[in-house]
Parts: sequence; structure tokens; C-alpha cells
Amino acid sequence: MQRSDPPGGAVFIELPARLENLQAFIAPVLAVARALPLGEERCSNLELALEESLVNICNYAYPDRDGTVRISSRPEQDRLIVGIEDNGIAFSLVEAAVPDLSVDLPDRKIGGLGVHLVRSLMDEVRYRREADRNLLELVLFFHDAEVST
Amino acid sequence: MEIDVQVEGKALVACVRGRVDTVSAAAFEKGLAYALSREEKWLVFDLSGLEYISSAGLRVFLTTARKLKAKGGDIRLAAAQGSVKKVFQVSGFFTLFKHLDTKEAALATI
Repeated sequence: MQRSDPPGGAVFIELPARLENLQAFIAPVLAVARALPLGEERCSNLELALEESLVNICNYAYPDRDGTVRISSRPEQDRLIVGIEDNGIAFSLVEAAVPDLSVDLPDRKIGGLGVHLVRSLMDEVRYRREADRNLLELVLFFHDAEVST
Repeated sequence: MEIDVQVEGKALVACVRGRVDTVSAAAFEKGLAYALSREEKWLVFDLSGLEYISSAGLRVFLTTARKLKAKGGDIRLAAAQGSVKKVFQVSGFFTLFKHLDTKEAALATI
């Protein structure tokens, strides 16, 4: 099932949670984002946040079965909201541990950087577990990261 | 992703161009194997042509630096631009590694 509307509109994509589908998830969302007043650097941040969130799901959400990921993105008055849903094992990207960035190389943890990047580069990241689904939302405000409602 | 490794004095310079993402990180790591097999223990990454990097690529910098530090060397980062520069910064890499505006400036620190 795949549907994507022209730039500026909403996007909805559901595909198997596999790394080979990364670009199929990311490209339509980015096409919409680039038509919005976000600027190229923040569109690139969004691309990265999507990659990191999706890679986590593809690698860990379904350890012993196949599953899907649903991406929906919708521009609202002052922001773009991208929803990422799976029904794999519970994982809160908002609460997951991140590496201690103050420690030097020998002690620096290799994992967790992706989660840290998503939380640092998006204006808002929200997570909730609903029934057996993980619902993650990435939010970018238009023009200025400091704008808030 | 494209990577070229050249010897400049007592250091190696790896010029990385394009995208280092989840899919291309393995090729990036493989491209560095030659650099790590040589006797030079200093490696400057010229990032002026790097357009995108995700955590899979960042991990390769960490593991490469560890290997070179074990030999008494290190890596230097040079010329990261725009959103790539921000990703390195947010990841704390500019406190782990020296970042200079140009490859030449990075070579001068070795």
C-alpha cells in the first residue's frame, strides 16, 4: 500500500520494515518537506532523523518475525509532523539511553548516537505506546526552531 | 560515497565525498582498510565534499580513531560543511577530535 500526494500535501506509506526500503520511506517525505519553509539544512536534519528512526525499527522492532512501518507526514499551520508507526517490540526513542558525549574516545560508547541525533535535531520528538503499536512523531516548526505554540 | 586515500608527508589524507549512510557505511569502512594497513598512523579526513552522514558513518570514525590511537596516532577532521558539520558537532565529535577549516590546517597540527 503506497500513496503520496503532490508536494505540500500529506504522505502515507506502509512498507515492510527492511533497510532496502529506507529510500522508499524517506524520499516522498523529503519531497514534501523541501516544498515547505524549512530550509535545506533542516530538511537534511529531517532526512537524518528519519533514517535513524527507521533503521532502529528495521533492525530491532521485529526480532523474530516480519513487520511493517507506516510513515505519515502532514504539514500543519506552522509545522511539519512526521508520524512513524510500527507494531514491533516497545521502544521509546524519547527515553532511550544516549551515550555520554563528555567522555573521551576509549570510553565513548558506539551505540545510541542515532537516538541522540534524532532528539537533538528535531524541534520535538514525541512517543507513545498504544495497544501493541509504537507511535513516534517528529516535529519541525517552519522558519525558526524557536517558534513555539 | 567515494573515498580517496593519499599520502601527504607523514600522514594520510582521506577525501570523502557524497553520502555516508546506513547503506554505504560498510563501503566507507572498507575504503579505509587500506589506510589502516599502512604504517602512517595519522589520518586527516577531508570532509569538504561530504554531503550527508548518519550514525552508521560516525561509528566508522570512532572505530578508525581507536585503531590509530592504539598505534600512537589519531585522526583529524577538516572542512566539514553545513548540516554535516552540525551533525559532527551535535555528536560531540569536535571535542573528541580536532576539526580544522582546511585539510592543510589539519595537516599542520600533526
